[in-house]
Amino acid sequence: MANESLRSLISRAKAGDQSALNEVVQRFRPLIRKYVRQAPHKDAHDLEQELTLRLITLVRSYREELPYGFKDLVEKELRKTNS
Amino acid sequence: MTQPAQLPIGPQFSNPLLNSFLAEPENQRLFCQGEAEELERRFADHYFERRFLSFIRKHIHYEAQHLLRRLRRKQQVEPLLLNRKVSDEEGTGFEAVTLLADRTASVEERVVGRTIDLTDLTSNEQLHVALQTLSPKQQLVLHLLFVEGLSELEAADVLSISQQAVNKSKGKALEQIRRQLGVQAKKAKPRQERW
Repeated sequence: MANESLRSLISRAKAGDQSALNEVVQRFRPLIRKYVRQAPHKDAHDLEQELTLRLITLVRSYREELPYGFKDLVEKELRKTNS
Repeated sequence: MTQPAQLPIGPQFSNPLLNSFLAEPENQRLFCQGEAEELERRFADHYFERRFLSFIRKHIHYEAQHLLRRLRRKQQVEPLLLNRKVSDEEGTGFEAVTLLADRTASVEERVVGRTIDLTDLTSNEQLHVALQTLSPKQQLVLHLLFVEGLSELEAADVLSISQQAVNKSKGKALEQIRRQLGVQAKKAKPRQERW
């Protein structure tokens, strides 16, 4: 699926799917490169490695549960406007 | 089939998350048609994406700043001293590394290539004379030790004699110089008396 949602991608990556994890790393490469460009040339590679490693740890440790759904939010909003 | 453009604009909520979700025409349509299940699924995707992206951005930003700070500090503490240009009046622009002594040149080469004579080193006339009274071998030993800055062991290597012989030669030469200069020799070292 070309436009897989981030939610299902992360969920697969967390479950140990290597290709999903690769895809996540690819998607966040521009973000990481932004910082890598600020490093001295000789350290750039090390920094990219460290940040990528950090990204992978973050993905693995991320808690997927969302605190509320659409209905909860709409009801909360309606209560707020009605009162 | 309903066109998204003809849909009534959904109620404006104060919650930015709801607004951004309903800004999507397809979500508006689902909302108006009360497709609860599909809405929940799409909302979860949308909400998750926003939460996850901000989580990752925040943490990567923090980590990157931390690492970059460390790199900058390292840069200050351990600058590449040897690659720094040597500043001198002529502005030759040598990198310091090119001025390091070439340790690959053998001790012999360094000795043969010497240009400084031991007796030329002093402006003290008495010392100059005293130096010239030394035997050539003693002169050579002193030259190796004090002009070339070799250790006794290295000098011994050059002269193909033992280190002890170098030490003895040095001791004798210095003793002789002291005597000529009228300096009272310090109490002879007990160690040398044993020999």
